[in-house]
Amino acid sequence: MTILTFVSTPNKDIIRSKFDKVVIEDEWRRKGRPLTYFGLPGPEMLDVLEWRKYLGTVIAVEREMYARHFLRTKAFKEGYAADRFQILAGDIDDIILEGKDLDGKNPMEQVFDLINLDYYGGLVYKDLKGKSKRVKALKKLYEIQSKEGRDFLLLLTINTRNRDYEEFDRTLDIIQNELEDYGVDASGVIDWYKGSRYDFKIKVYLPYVLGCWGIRDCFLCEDIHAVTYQGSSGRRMVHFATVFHYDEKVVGRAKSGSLVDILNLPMHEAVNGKLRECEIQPQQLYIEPLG
Amino acid sequence: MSLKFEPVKYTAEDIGCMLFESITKGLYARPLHAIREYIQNEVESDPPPTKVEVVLEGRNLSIIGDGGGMNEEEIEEAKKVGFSFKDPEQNFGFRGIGIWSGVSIADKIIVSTKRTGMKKRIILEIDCNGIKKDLDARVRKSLTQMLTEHVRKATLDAPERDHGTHVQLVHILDEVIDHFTEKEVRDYMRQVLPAEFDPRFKFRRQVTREIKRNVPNYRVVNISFNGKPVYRPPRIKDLESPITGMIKQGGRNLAFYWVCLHKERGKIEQKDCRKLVYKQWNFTVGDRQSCLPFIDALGHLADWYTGEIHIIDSEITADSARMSFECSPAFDALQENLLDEMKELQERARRKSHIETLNKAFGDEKNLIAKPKSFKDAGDKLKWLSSAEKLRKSLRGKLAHTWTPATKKPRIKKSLAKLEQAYKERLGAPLKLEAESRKKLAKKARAKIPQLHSFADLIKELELTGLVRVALQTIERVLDKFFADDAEILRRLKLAISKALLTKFAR
Repeated sequence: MTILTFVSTPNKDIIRSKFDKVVIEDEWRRKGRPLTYFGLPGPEMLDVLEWRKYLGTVIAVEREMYARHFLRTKAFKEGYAADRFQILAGDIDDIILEGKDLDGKNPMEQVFDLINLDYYGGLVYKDLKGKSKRVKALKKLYEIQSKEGRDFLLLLTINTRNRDYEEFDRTLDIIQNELEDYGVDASGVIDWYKGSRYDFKIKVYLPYVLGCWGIRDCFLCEDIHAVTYQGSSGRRMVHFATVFHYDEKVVGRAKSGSLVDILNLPMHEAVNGKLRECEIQPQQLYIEPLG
Repeated sequence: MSLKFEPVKYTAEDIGCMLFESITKGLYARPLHAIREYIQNEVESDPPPTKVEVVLEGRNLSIIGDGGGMNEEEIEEAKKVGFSFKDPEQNFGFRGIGIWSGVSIADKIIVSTKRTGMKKRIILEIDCNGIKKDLDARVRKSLTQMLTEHVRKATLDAPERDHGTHVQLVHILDEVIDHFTEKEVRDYMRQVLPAEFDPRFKFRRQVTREIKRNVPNYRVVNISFNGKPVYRPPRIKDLESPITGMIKQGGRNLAFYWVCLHKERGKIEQKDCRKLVYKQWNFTVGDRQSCLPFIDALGHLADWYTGEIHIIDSEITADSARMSFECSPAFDALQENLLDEMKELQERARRKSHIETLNKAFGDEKNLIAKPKSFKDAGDKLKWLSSAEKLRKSLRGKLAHTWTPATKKPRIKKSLAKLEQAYKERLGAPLKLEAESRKKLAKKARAKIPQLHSFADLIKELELTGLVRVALQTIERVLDKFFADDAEILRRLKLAISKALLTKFAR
């Protein structure tokens, strides 16, 4: 007899119930209506249940057949009728890119308010041609959202096991150069990051690239929250909650202010089911006021 | 001669896997019947579910209920073929084959179930694809060997308070997927499952009350499909008050029925609500063509009714495919008594039709009399006269009919008198061609009399239409035939007729 199990961790629980919930509640208040959820809730749909007060339609993606089965059982048990709880089969990146799942089903809503990409994997895994499907999917998401100009809250969890570490350092160099163009010397802070743990590097890398991709579709990444924790497999994870605001007037590249914000962004930490500010905090970058 | 018999021993090896085909593909002619089978299993769990949801997601179909679910022992029973722990007196299903009903339509069946108080959810997986391959290849395997190879189970930790069963048909096959459209599944569920009455059925509360009072095995389940509730027919507002009755044999109750007659005279518009259906444990047995005594008794009037016959007697048993009932004296008695009972319904429908046509005749009479007394042409006049004649005939028939209430008879007589009067008035009424234009035409035609060689010329000059035109043409043909040898008499006759017509027109 095979034993099937699905687990959460106390760290993940606290992030869901304290860290994300606050941001989601803010977004719910701001929009004044239930949020349309699109993402990877897992068979226990713990996040959906934790945030159900703020959610309207739920579009859940599951790759694994049994996970989908139990997800449907759970949705039924929790009183989610099928007309507001859709399960799509397949890889979430493929679904975003192709607009349909393995069975040919389209998502029941075209745009979303809350996108939960609890990837657990890395962000920029590349295929043999050196291309990352995940990156392509994220870019496509902005495109989809921009068609209706819909603001959205992106929750993203990735691990620090990434073979392309050079990518992080390269991004740090780009940030340093861009700030130099604005006359800001960030070399000290950048050096600190280069010598830091990978979760700190990701804390800078991810908001930077998300901001760059978003701005092409008129999305401004304004409100970023980051938390690091030890995942169930002992791997270090970084979780982001970021609100993207649509603004047709947004053009060009990120402003120096947002680059400084990214570098100075505090890192939170979930340890033994408790949430706190990280003991190690990034070296802050101060800009002298003009005149 | 004395023969000494001894039992022939059978082992699992003696039962071949090909037998399985007849209880899967062979038994359920319609692929959608699998939905009924799994819902039936859920409904008959202990305790029964408060809700059952069917979800069609792409090529996967889920049937989920919050009933009692199964523990290890019960799932061991459920996986058996042709064994059931259910009591036939207490359940609709008792043959132990329902769980296999989806085998011929999907690649895989996942049954996950949990009983309250158990710490594990049990998952049974049936590899239908593997079974199908074995059956198609006609392999020589015992049934037990084949099932052992293609059925497996697992467990999953679950909260103790959880309960219920989820059956999922994974990847419905190409050859049957066309049946699994949203519309077809919903229509099927409405017709077959023990759902609540449609809220549009005006008498649903009254009928439900009556059924509950009379049918001990009646049950209703809160069923939804793709998030929307499923209701059983009828979904019609314009129905007469329900007629209910018990079909009995001696002192024994065989079945309880309720029927409603269409309020309008005629067939019920929605085809899927017409006629009566057999219900057992509130599941439909057969379809709306299955209640033959009703159809035989009422003929075309069967489509004027909607209703249900709930089987009560436990000796009346639905067949395995649920398409009819097994032959039994009890079922024969039901059919016989039903036929007598239904004859009354026929008379009721005919009486209703009689009264409605009478009321319609009163309306027609008013309309006919309200029409102007002069007519624009002869065709118009003839039409009125024939309608009036038809109506007079109909009213005279109604007056003599025993189904016509005495209270209506004076009204019929009054209508007949009015019609008689109107008929006389209109019979001699002139055609409404304007006098002036008629005079002008007559004057013009008289001037041309010497040139009129035939009635065709006259018809043209006087612009005659309709019946007069036809009559003249006929007269001319007759005259031409009879006086073919005497052209002079023919000419004079035609002239005389022409002059007479012209005089009439000139007046």
